[in-house]
Amino acid sequence: MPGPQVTPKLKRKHEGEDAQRKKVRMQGKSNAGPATNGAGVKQSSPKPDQTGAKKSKSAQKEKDLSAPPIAAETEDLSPEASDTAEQSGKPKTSSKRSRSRKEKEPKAEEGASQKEIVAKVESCSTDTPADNQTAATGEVQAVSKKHKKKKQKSRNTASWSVSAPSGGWFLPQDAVFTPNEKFLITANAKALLIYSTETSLLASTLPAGSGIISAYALSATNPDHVYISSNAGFIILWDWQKAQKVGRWDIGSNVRQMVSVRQPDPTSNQDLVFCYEAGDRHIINVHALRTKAHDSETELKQILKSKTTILNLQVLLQGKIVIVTCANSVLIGKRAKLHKTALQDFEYVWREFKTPKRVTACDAYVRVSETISKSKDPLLNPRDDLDLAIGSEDGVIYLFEDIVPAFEKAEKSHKDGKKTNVELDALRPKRLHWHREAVATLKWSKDGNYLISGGNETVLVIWQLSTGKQQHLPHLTAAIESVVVSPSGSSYVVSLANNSILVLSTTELAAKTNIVGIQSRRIDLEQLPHKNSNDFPVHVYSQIPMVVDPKTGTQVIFSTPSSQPKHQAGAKPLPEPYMQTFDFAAQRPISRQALTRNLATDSNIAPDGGKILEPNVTLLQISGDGQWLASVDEWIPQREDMSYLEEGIPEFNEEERTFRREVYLKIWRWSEKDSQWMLETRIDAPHFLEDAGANARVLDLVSDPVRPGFATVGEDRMVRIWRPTTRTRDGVVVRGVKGGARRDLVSWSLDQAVEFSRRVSSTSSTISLSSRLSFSKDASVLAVGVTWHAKDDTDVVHLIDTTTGTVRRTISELHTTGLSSLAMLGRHLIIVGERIIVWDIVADELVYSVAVGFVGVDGDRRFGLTRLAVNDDNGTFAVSSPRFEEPPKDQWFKKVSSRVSIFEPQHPQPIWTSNVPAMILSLAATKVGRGYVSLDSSSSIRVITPQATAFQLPTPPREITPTRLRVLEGDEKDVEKIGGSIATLFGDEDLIDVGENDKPVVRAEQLQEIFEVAPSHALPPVKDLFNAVVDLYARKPRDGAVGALV
Amino acid sequence: MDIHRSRFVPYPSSAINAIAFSHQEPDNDVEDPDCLRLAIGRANGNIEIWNPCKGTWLQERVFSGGKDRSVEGLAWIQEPPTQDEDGNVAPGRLRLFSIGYSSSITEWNLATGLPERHSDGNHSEVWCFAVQPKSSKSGSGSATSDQQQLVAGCADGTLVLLSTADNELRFERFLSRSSTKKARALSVTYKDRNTVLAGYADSMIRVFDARNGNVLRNISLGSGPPGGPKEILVWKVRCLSNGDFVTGDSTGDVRIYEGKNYSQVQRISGHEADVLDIAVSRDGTKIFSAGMDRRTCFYSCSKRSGAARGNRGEKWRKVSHQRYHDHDVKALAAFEGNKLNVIVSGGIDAKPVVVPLRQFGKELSRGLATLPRVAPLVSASGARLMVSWWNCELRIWRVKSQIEGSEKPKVVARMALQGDENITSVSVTDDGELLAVATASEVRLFQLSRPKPGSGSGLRIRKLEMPSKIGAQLVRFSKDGKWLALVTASNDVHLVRIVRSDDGGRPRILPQLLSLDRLQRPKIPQDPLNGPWGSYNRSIMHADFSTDNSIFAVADVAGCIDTWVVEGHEDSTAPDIDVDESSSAPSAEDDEDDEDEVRQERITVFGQRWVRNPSGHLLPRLDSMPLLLSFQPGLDSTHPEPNGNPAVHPTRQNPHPHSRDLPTTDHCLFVVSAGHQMYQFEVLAGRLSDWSRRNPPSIYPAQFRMLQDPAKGCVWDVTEARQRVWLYGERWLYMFDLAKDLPPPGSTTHQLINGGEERGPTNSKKRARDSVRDAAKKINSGAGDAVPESETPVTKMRKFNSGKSDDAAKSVWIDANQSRHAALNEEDGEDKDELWIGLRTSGKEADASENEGQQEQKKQESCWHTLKYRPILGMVSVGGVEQPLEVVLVERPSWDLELPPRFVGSHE
Repeated sequence: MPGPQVTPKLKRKHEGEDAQRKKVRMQGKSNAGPATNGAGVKQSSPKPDQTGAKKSKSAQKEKDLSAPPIAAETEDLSPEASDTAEQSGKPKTSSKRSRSRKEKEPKAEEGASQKEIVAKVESCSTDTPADNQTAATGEVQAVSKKHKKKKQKSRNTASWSVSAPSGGWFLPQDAVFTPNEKFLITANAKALLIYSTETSLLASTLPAGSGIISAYALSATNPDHVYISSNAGFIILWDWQKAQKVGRWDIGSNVRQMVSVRQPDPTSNQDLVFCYEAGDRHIINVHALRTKAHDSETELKQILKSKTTILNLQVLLQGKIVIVTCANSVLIGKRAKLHKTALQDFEYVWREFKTPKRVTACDAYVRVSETISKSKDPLLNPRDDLDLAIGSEDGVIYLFEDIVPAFEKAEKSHKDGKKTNVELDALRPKRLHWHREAVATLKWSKDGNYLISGGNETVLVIWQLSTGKQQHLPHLTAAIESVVVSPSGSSYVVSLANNSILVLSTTELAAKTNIVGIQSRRIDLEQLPHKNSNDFPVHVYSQIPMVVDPKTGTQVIFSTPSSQPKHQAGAKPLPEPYMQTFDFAAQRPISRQALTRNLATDSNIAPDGGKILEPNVTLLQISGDGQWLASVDEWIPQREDMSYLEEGIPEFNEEERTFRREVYLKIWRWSEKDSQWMLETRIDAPHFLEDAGANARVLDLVSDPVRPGFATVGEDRMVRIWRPTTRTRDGVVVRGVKGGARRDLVSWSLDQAVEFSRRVSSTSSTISLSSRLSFSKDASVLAVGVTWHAKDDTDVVHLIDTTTGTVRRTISELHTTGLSSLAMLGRHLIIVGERIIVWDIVADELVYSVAVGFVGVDGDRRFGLTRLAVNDDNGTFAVSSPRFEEPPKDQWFKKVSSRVSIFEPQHPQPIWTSNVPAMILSLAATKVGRGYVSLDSSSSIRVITPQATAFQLPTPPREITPTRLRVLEGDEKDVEKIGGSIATLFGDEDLIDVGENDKPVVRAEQLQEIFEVAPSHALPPVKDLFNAVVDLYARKPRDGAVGALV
Repeated sequence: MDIHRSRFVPYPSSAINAIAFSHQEPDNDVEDPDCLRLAIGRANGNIEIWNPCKGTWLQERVFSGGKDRSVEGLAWIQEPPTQDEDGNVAPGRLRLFSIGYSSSITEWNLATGLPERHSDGNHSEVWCFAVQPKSSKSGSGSATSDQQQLVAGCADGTLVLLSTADNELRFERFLSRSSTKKARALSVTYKDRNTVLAGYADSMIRVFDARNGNVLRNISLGSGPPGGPKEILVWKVRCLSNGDFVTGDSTGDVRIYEGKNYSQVQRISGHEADVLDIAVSRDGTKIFSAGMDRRTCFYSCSKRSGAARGNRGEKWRKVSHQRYHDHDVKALAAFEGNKLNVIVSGGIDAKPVVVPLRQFGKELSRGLATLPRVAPLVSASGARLMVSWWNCELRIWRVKSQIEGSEKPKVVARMALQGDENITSVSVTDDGELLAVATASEVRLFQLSRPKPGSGSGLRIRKLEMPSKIGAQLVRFSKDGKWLALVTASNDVHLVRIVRSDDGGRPRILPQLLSLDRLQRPKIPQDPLNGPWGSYNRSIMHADFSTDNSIFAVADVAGCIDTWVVEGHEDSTAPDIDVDESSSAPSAEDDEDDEDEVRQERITVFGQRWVRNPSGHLLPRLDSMPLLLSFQPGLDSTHPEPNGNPAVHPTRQNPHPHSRDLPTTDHCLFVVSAGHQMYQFEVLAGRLSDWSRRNPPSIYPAQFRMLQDPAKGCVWDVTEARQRVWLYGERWLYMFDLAKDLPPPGSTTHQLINGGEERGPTNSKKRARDSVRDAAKKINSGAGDAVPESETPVTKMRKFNSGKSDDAAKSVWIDANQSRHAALNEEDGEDKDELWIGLRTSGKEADASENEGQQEQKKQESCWHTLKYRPILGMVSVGGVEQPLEVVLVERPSWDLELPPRFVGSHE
């Protein structure tokens, strides 16, 4: 990227004797012109000097990019975005404010005498929102163009693009309510998300810019402002209502948590931001981040330095009390010198106590005494009544009431060296024990009379402290990750471990808002087992069954686990008993449905205390008309559960587990009425191992592209084709009301079974390791690829004639092993294993064979990591291959990404290749846009589309209209604007009416006039009646309606 | 030693229904009262008197009850102090009252352990009763006003006032008549001396003025929770020191009321089921409740003043709860002294549990012995019979030796005594032919004879007539079965001579009782337990004959030992009973038995006469109560027994001649005191044996000193090579070889004995830590050890300033539990002699000592122990004298106890 501008990245040089005192200076932009300089910013007029900015910017753009500008305006990429290639590789769907370019900072300015850090502050631009919006669209296109150019320098074929990811997990930080509780602010790694609490819909998105969002905090002084920090070391202050950047500071450290409070000085109306900054040492800094005129006052003060990781930071009473929770200790900081409110006078007295058990949750509450508060400012009262609740790893909540005097007493007695037996009653906490497992979250109610806690039990527990009673809200769908009490105390925000957020009213505990993200399997590298401890965690990267619903073309259906708690250790793959439907065009989840038995309401703990696991949906397919869905689920007892049978021999254990394996093939029918899939047929043990007497695993499932039917292949080397038959009783079709509409009852049964022989040379197991199936487009040929356990047996592909059910051809000349995907594209058979092999079936010859580009993984481990999808519409297929970056330390990987390549069966060279910064776990072809959809390990969905075909973003860019948020802002100008638009609408009233009155309105009275003029024997002839009715219906609609009214 | 480890003895546990401390609070601010006692009433009618004694918890006396005489409530009162002529104020006497399923209240005589008097009154059964608080200012009013009254609540809802004045127990008047609803009065308490609170079964609490019976207030608890019964049962009412009061009811809630206007202040639900009892701390800031869900809950009051919460009065918070019991908890009692501050709880699982009061949550609880301190087991080792008893029943087993095959012991006789008195003591002769069974009203004697071959294995039992109907609390046969010693409830010692014929015919019992006089001890200063009304401390606890039947010894609660020796030799030609009425004439021999009162008659039986041991007064009083007393079996002496008493003939001057020969061979009396100090006395010489002198308690193995459970009994294993005594307590078994000295401290053997893991160079460190633990144990509240650090909520804390971040490194960590340790260390110096302080012994140590090497060592070592067997009901020897020692060790594990099904949480 030929980024012309170089940002002087100012780093901390040394921490000298005056190191805590950092001066953060604001830098004016050199090229913004006088309009955007200090005074101009201050004015912040809605009609800024746009032309100048536009001119200058377009000029820059023309300088930078040779592509012709599509939009009226574009902007340069931010410098940090240009740093990372992947970032720039994606179009920016989100609006980005044009920013004045920074010029090189003269180094001399850093002041030789002061070894200080200079954080960079950028002022926001002065674009109006409307302008901004057009800029956003324009920018997206421009950027993608630009990107395209870059990527395809060498290629002349059709160009493809990857959309920005949609979905992703919410950050583990507590969601934030706006003060009026109309909006809920949360974030995923890429953007700050603002949801409306009334509609549960995404109201607005603020992009992270570069890097990953690490923390966010609502400004204490201005509820429209929100601080967002990224792991790149920036804190950006946004006005989220206007979607504008207000300020930007480079603080050069990774902020993990932020809390914003109002500076205690009564005269000031400024924020102080408490930041937990992680690095080699864990530091808590207080930042005074100032913009505009006060920029010179930007400064920071370090208040705590710790060696251990800080779990939680809580700031009370405008910074008078700071509670810091570490793994095994809790620190309570009280500000000394309460009368001095300048930042540099922030001195804290810390009291730390250690706990023998790990602290998993902590919340503090300050009781302000009524009598004292009248006379004195609570902020200046040296004594405060601090109640502290701590949740520990063994499920106990300890409640310390008025803890500070207990400390003081203990310190005093220690200091005096007295040997009197001090009764530390306050250090004898109240013990609240209901949770069986670690308390994941703990909050005080606003009045301090209740504690709200939650954890893996999926039960929200509300403790009434004065009576000792508990209230439970059981059977939440997943483990509770965090609970937040809204500012008015009228609702609880419950974040669940299935990537959803629930807002409950505190009175009747009814859900008011439900925000759902993509819930598919998430792989967090930090949670993988250590390298030396376990085997390669290949199972976590196994394929997620995903299909595109042909009814809509924009919805994907994939299986999801019920709950993925972030604290859950170990890489045991979670079973995935649910499926989720997600519309990637509208970027929102449609529905969620259980496909197997699940433990949402059942007991999920075995008598011995172990967890009961749900069945795992391993395969999903949908019929070509979208009416039928087939799923295969599998359940096997846990190894520990069979240990009492194994007699010390592990093989017995395996045998017993296999013996108890349950496999079901379920066929579901789409019910239009209920908008969900109804179970039509359950086939127990679709494949069976005769010699073991056990259910065989189903290795692949495909759908007949022509008529309803599904084909399965199992471990038992059988291919079975299942088809629906209309149920008859004595030759009469049975009709039922199943699934809402009255229709023929259908049952699914086995239509054909084809056994393919094992290789003669094979001496090892008769069970195939893996098999893949694929139908040809006309469903006349079914290809079965088989991989054997033995290394020396190469893969074979059998071609089965589906009309006769015989194996017509066995292709054994492939000379490859580790087949992981198979597909037919026209006359070509595509086999992906160690290599990508394209075989022409008609000519029965190899077209080409190229190696799959594996990075950082070798040998057996490669098996099952590639994904293949074919798109018949444009004759391409897509292959994704993993890229692992292995760090030297004990972790498995540092970073995992995938490379997606689009091939055509004629050319061994991919027509397009791109990297995706997460492991692609599923890849499918879309009908719309002739592209592909990928679901990756960060639970994001990306759409890959060819650019050449009248490119349209599959997702129209979200409109960030100021009107949508106007509810909050009583901006008179905007109201006027609305009024204007309404007026114009009224002007078109006639048009609208005509459009709406297409059908003639026939009212009952009119019919009555015709038919009920006389008793039935005295009616006029039928012809007259008929004509009268026809007149009524066939008249000119509008006139008739008017006439009727008249 | 062969051990028959057995669990077959069906010793039934008896639920604890009532617990009461003799004092509510210490008399002065410094010391806890010496005569503090704990009374535990059980469902079988027994009342046990426990002595907390600085945390050792010793069961001192058992007042035996009888069939259908369940103890449902207990209360102590203390009479006002009296002033004698010299102006010395003597503390008032303690009196113990109990209620059962009857309309009367029973007062118990603490000296004899028998009911003293019953109240009368025309009212229905008493369900609850309470004691009027002592008047705050002593001597302010007349004597009667200082008296503590009793108020009793009855099944029909009446409240009765009883007066305890004039050392009596009299019906005074009705405080309230039964209401029309006849709701049971379930709990009653005094708020102050003139206000009575009573909780009823109709969800009501009523407040009465005790002076005139006026109802001051009716407080309704409302109706019960939906789905349950409408009426709430107010199981317990307790008052706090500030006048507020607390109730526990059948909904599981604890409600706190204000004392002034009787309004409910707070309601805390801490239990899942009925709250059955409540205890409060002295300062009224802590409440404990226990109930049917087996929990013991702790509530504390925040003293926060001016805080937001104070305005609403909701200042009580439940702190925590814990399950100490396996079944319903029925009774709680609190004592909060300066050092000892504990809650004792008991229930259907029969185990008293001591819970720290002030240190609740910081110290562990301590379960006291479930089984009786004196093993209800005796054996006729020669006949291989073993006798066990409980309540009114008795069972005899024959134990086959292990060589004969692994046949289980077989029941050969079952007996159920007539009458409803519980058995107090049983003795059987060594040859298994005579069995004596004592109850409080009668001693019965039975002849056991082996059946004729072929007529089954059962024993033939024939009752023998006792010459006089006299009850006893203790019976002992001499080893040859010729003498039977009876200790009556009033602590008189009698001997009965039994003439046995060799052919197995019916033994003849001489009608005359021989009375033995105990040495008059210097007057013990009057205290609440001992006074002119009777001396609790002189109650005889143990008695034993020496192996050659020539010496008889008894020991009492105070630790005094009395011994008697037999004069002369058995002369079958002599008259069986020769009563010398004239011995009032002063004889030199009689006089030397100093300050003895003049006896009316002297009885010589077959030429033998029992006299007080001439050197008996030399035996010192023990440091504490004796736990066991046993004569060490001597090896067979080769001294020829003279046949009869040569040269003793009746003459005119001396019509009742008797031999003055005293036994020549000395006998060692082995006594273990409550301080776990072992004494070996040479009785005739009146001195400590050499072993005892060489082995002071300071060199006892550390683990022996740490044992918490008191010794219950011993079994001897004496051969030429060794003189082993096997001591056992409820959870331990210890062997000492009295022929060898204990290893001096510091020697390698000493270390070996003191624990398998304590080897090598780390020794000194471990020892240091041991002593720390020892010290820690000493100053605790009387319950268990301090909670391990990993269980405490806070371990340590520190303070530092953010100003200088380097400060963090320098700041000092304060141990959150440190203040307590410091306090403990301070007292370390004083209590050097306080040895009977145990530590919780872990099972690990038990296993360590189990290994083979240790087994080998016991062949040579002078002591050895195991903690493998628990809980031990008793251990008796079977098998003849010549064979190697063979014992039956009876365990009675708690899981084996047959408890009634639980109402609450039975599925857990």
